Amino acid sequence: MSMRFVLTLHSHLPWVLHHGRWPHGSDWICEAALDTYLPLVAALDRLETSGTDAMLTLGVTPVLAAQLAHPTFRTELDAYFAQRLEAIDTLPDELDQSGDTELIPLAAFWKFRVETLQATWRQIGGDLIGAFRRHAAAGRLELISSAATHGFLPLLGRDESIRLQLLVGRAEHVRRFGELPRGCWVPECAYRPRGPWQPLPSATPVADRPGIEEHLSYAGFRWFFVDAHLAEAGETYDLYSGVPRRTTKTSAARSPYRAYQVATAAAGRPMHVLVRDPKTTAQVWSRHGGYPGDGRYLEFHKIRYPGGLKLWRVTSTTADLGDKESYRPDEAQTAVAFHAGHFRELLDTVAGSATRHDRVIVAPFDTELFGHWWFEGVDFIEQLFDRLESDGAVVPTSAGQFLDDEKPNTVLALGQGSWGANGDFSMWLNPETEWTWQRLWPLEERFWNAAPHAVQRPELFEIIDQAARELLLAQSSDWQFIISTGAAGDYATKRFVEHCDALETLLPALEGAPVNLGHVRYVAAQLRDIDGLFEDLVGAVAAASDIATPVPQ
Amino acid sequence: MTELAPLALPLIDAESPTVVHLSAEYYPYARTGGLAEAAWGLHRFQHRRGIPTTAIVPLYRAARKHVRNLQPLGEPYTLYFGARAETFQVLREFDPASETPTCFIQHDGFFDRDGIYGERGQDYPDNHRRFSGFAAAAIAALPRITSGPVLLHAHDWHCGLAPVYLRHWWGGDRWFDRIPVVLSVHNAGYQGHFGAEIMPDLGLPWSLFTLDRLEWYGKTNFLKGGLTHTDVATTVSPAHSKELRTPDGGFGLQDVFQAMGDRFTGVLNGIDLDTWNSRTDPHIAAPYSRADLSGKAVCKADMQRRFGLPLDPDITLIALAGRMVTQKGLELVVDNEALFDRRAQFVFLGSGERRFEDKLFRLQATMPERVAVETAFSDELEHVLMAGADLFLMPSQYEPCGLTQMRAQHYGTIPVARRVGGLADTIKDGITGFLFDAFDERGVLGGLWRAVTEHRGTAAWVEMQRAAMTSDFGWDRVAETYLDLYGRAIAIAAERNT
Repeated sequence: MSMRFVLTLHSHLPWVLHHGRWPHGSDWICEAALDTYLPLVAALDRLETSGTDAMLTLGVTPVLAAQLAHPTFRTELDAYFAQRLEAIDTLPDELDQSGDTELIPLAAFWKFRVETLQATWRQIGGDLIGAFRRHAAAGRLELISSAATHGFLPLLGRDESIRLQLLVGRAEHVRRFGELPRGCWVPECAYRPRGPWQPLPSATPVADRPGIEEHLSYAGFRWFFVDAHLAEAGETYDLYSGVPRRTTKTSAARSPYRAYQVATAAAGRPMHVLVRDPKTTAQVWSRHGGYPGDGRYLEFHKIRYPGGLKLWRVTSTTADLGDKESYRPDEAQTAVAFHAGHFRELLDTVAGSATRHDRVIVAPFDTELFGHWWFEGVDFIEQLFDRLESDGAVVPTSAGQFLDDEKPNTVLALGQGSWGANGDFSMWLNPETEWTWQRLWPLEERFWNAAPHAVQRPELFEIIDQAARELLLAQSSDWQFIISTGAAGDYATKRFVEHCDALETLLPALEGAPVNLGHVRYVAAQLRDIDGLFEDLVGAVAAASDIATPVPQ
Repeated sequence: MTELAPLALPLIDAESPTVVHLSAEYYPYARTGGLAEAAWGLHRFQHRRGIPTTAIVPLYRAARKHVRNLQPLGEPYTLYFGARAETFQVLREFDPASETPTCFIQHDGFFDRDGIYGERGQDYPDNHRRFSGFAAAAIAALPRITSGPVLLHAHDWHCGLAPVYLRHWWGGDRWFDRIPVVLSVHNAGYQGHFGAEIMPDLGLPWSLFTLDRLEWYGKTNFLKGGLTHTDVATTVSPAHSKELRTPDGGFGLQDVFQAMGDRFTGVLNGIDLDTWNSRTDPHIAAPYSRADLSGKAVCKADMQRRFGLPLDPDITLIALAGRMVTQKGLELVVDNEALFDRRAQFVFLGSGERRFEDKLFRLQATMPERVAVETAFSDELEHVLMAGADLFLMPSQYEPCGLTQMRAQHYGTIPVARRVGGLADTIKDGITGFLFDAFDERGVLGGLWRAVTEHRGTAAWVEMQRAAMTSDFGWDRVAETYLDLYGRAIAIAAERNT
């Protein structure tokens, strides 16, 4: 029996529109569009033309979708194209003057590439969402959603916050893409089962908080992804007539090549989980042991200024930036062909050694890895689909389709963790970021204590609407991640503080403090001009805050 | 009509008992709420399944237009309530309009009136006499209905005194002593409270006016009397049976419900699947089924047209039908500006408290393209709403069972309801409908927000409609439960008599 292959791309960028351009700000999303999103659309178009069976599970976070659909993004990307083409036009003379003549042929390469992508941009009418939507309707993509602003769910202080992230995530998805998502990319694959909660001594302890899957279920999602160690750390149960019983099997039953029902206290439909395959994914994301580290690929870190163009190849992972050699596109394409073939063989090898119950290879990645970090990554995906036949040992499918077909009946109590460094939460909660949580948690408390009353006062609707946006924006996991990596820590710190400050300005009105409501509404409107993502948040806040008081038995 | 296999009741003294339903409301003779349909629905199902049954109901003025052929069952008889004498006649209906064996208690002084419980918003001042009289007269009528054993199934407070009279007036007579009694509480919010002074007028001794019998905060409580004298009691949903045991949900009778232990349970009502069949419903614009939902869009357009709303297949069409009263959560709707702020149309069907009706008419006047109100409830319009609406809103303060949400799901119309009583038991949150918890405007807003979000997804919505239509709400679902319950009552009665 063949195995299924679920290639999943998770696309996300924090809200950067109206918050700077370069080095940090809207250029991030323009780079991602030029490097990844547009090439991906072009690749899907070519796969369509060639009639190749391709099935990709594509996550687009609501905050990214909101940006891709925003008029500001279109203006910014038009300007970015113009700036790029101008830099390319002046490149030969500049290289000639600086004596880097061996790099001059790359100007033609870049000119062709950027003009081709600009043509794609124009062809889709500046509507990336529409392009993804079209490919989803044609059956090449299954679109999934995520938490609204990619909040790090296990560390959010209030259950209402987790619900709001997920409810808004699903609602924004249907608003953008016209269909409700069944799958959720849980930010950073961060999962916490039901149990006591106190991530820091300074946090108010909670004796029993619902597991993340319970909130996913409330929001209407059916399945999500976890990293392999969360499954490995869990306990499995087999279902007998719908009742979970402890299985005698051990680690073999926790194979990453199966899907599971998540053990949960939530009533309703089963919640399913797919497990990231460590073996195949490492081949792709690892810059050292994996494909992107091949010397023939474009070097990400060496950028020529002015102009911001990349002209060198990796050469070797140990080479200093000064020792990088000029990029040779034809050699890079040779490497792509080789690696796509190699990956196909790797999939066949996994399938060949699979047990009877192993049914699926799940390979999730950040979308921006392909094209942005690994320049040739989108070409790799395209060539990989060329090499996967619909009747082969490994058949590409979408996550939802696989779960519809297989209906997993092994129940798994998942462990806690994420797909980040160390497999735990430490990338987001560490001595460098502790202060962010200590600032955020009290704001969450104040917001959710005020919300149930505020959503019943029409004169506060505009304020609660914007306060919810600022709360969501302050919760983006990106701020802690960037602070932890140190790459743009000042920007992340500034952004986090700005959103917390904005929320703090609006909260007294929601709390019933004697404030000038007209002025606060004006402030809310000003903030909305900058941070105007998402709609109809009053209803979402109402739904998120409606948490049951259990009836005594 | 489908042919159904007969069901067998547990025996009393080696004989199959006749199940006698006692109810103040009964379809189609007298109806103000769900009681008439619930009592009739259960009875009709049992009758169709071959169980010997009879219903006993008052002969109201309203009932006379439905009865076809009444025959006296024996001579008139007089019962003495203290010094007061009341004469009753039992009449049997041949070829009954209810399709069930039905007997009527005739007492024109009590029942030949315009109303059932009262007129012009006022209860009749002699309701304690009317319904104690009905209960006692029904017990007295039992030997005329059958000489064999009887199992008495009384419904709601109006029949609460039936087991009291049975034990105290007829106690010691073996034929009556062996009668097991089941009391169903359809709405514990209505208990039949009267002043203490009526005890002699009921013909009952003051010795029963105690904390563990009929006394309740200095008053005489008919329902409490029934609960403290019945063998087994039920309410109309498992969740409501839990709520009734709590101080918040027990309507002051929580101690009584708690004291009954496992003799008090919850059993859901069913709906009549012949009347509620979207493939054959004569009241709806186009038939449809779970497999082919295309007719539902025609029904939606028909509903929009009938209620004068703009025809729009995509807008979410929300219905609320029933009594416009506090219990149904109207105050959470009429002033909830955020609800009417969104892309949706609302249709309100039914009458009730004036303050709610006034506000609804004001909403209709302000936004006629979004809100339609019809206070003249009719069966036909209820069918039109069930088939045409996308969502059915039920923000009830409490809802012991509720039939609307079952009919709605059966018609692929998604209920948005508060997580109470039968609503919690019959709606699977996020699968066949949406449940919310808070009894405030936020709860309704949040529930509708989730539902309207779901309505925007085409495939997911159809999946939800189909899941709702798969739910089984027919009476056969609960038949076995009632057989068990009757068996329990029979065993308790037998033990009492040994």
